[in-house]
Amino acid sequence: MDQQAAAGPGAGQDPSSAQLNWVHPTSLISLSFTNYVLSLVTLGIYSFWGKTEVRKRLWSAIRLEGEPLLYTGTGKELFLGFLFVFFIILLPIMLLTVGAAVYFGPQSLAYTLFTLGLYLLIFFLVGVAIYRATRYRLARTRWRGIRGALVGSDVNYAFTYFWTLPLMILTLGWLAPWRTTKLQRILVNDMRFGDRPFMFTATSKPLYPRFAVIWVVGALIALAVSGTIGYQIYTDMQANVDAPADKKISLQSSLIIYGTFVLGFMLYGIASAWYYAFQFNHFARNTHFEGSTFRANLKGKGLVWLTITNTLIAILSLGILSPVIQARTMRYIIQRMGFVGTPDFSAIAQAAEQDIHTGEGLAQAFDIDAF
Amino acid sequence: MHSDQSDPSFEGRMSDGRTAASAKVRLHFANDGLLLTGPDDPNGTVWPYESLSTAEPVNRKSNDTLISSSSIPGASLFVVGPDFAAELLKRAPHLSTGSLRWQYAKPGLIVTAALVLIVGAVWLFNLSPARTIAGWLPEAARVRLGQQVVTSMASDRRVCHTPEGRAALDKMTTRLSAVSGAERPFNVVVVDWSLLNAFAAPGSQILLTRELIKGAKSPDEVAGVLAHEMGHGLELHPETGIVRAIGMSAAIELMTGGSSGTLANAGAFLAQLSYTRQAEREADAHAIRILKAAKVSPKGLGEFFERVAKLEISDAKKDAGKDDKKSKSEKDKSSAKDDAFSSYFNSEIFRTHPHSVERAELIKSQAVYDATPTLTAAEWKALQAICKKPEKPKTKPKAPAKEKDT
Repeated sequence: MDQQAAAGPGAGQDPSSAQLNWVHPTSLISLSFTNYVLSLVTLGIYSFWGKTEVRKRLWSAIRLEGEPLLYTGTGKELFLGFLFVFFIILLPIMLLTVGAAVYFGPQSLAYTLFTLGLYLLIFFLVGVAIYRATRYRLARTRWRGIRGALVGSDVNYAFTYFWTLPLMILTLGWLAPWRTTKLQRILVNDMRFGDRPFMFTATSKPLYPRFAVIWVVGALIALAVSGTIGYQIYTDMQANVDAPADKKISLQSSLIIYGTFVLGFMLYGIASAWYYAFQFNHFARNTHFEGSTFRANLKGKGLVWLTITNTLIAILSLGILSPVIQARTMRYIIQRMGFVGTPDFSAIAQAAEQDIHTGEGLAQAFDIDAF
Repeated sequence: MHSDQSDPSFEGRMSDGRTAASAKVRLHFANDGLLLTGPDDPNGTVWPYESLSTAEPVNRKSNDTLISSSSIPGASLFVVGPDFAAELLKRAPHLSTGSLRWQYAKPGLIVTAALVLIVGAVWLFNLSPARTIAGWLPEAARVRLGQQVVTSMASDRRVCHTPEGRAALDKMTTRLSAVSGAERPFNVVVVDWSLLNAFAAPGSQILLTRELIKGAKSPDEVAGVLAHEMGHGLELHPETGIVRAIGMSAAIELMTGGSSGTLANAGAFLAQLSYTRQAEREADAHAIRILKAAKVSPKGLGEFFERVAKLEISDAKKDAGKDDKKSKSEKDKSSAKDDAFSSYFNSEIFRTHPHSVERAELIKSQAVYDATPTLTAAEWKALQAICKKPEKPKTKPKAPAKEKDT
């Protein structure tokens, strides 16, 4: 009972359901600066160990039934994972690109085709990276000593990720809710805690009314922004026909153009926060584990506020405080999540360990980093 | 067995790591380890202090502690309270923040020290890994690379060609190339380019500009420049430069975790050729040797570089004096590529003033030998006119007339 007091009961949690809480990590700011300094003096090598220590703090801030999650990944694994990807994937790609540029010539059709093929390969690899990063994190997460896992095929996920991408473009983005749901379904249904599976029952249908709204809003914003910019440029060109090329656009117009961009971007950000909060809640409601179901109550307003404050922290600290930003994001999410029902934890047994010895190098290389 | 004062007891929750259940346990700090007792285990189990590890480093601010022991694999113990953390730290100091931080930082520090040693050794013993790798490139690859460099530099510019001019250039090139010691003859092209410039590309290829031919006062000067560029080629300086640029990008990728994005930017490598003063000296040494073997006077080499160096200084002064010279600046803007190359050449070849003094000294110190002219007067005239367009009237350019004056 002592632990409950320390953890603090989550707002409005049903006492008969499993309790999910957040205990904010202490001394994250000093850890951020320590990591930064040590990364500098070790030419970036320490960052893998620093990242691991941050994750250990973040994981243990999440309390299920008053007991913390444990992150068991190591800096060495992340480092080896990155070295592996660098020498097996990045460096060969780089040398091949240089070789192709030299052999075919940078302006040749063959080189253009090569580059196109390379981009397609990278899109595929991004899918592999997302899956592998998730798998590594789950395999290195324990609660009460029981491991998580992702038991499916990374190629299968990457393939779905890959072939749905051109369809996204063909449908002008209208496929997005369907695609996101499909990819989430693969991930969640492959997830395990101990020997028990998670289950995902969401369809994309409930997402579409809201998606239609943000699609139309996005289109209107794009129209308004391009219209304003076009009008400003046109009137300036008319007024300053004889001015040299770099004086044709007045400072006032440049400010208006810049401001319109920023305003449009912010408006769209607000609209999409409203959509993503809904999508997150929808996915949570449809994620089940051992007779219990997740719930989430994210709000667009909260996400916007979180994004603005996090961006400010990132800018003002030159990115050094990124652990603080990660902690704030996780806190926001965990405090608004919970369970309906309680799984029978004593029935959940440890499963055989997966054979993962290196970390998420591919995700690191492509800069995919959720936490 | 134990006094209450020095051995306080705590409460925690233990999981055995077989199922996701947890049970309440009582904890005592025994001499050799943490003693856990519970309803199922009244005699208790000892977790030796040295076998313990914690989810996070333990410090006085720790509100709770998640512990595991290598002696009981899979099991974990969760204890709430800063008092427990303080007691634990007394008996298991290896769990402290400082001790763990050192453990984490060690690999990075070792790798960094090793890198510093390697870089130091490369510098100290004057090794050039890039030069070694450049030497491994097969001939065919170097020629191909050179063709790309020449193509990308010439890009939309015309390759100058008149039968007489070409014959004169070939005569000069063959004379120097034959005695240069190169495995394959040098291939020299002149490009219709208003920049005063000479350039060695990989695979024994050399590019001269129209302005250089025009700016030379005698064929010996052109021969001197050619011999100098051949020197760069013989030392594989262009190849080395490209390999070094690629290596640097790879190193930056590695250090920034692969997210610096220089990955697919192959085009940039081709233009990133810059020579050190040491490389210039090597090229000069070759130039003097080649000129001597070909019985060409080395005076042209010295005079040409010296004059160009002076020209560059006065040009720089002129530019600084009147920057409102609109027509010139607009002209410059029209060929940003020219600017990039010209600034590189200005700084790297022609503006090495101490070096041009050194070069002059070197040439003066050479023993006088019987030199014969490189070209006849007629051949020299033909070479200087190599960029003349054919006389026959061509279709008029379709570009608007106002751009004609540039």
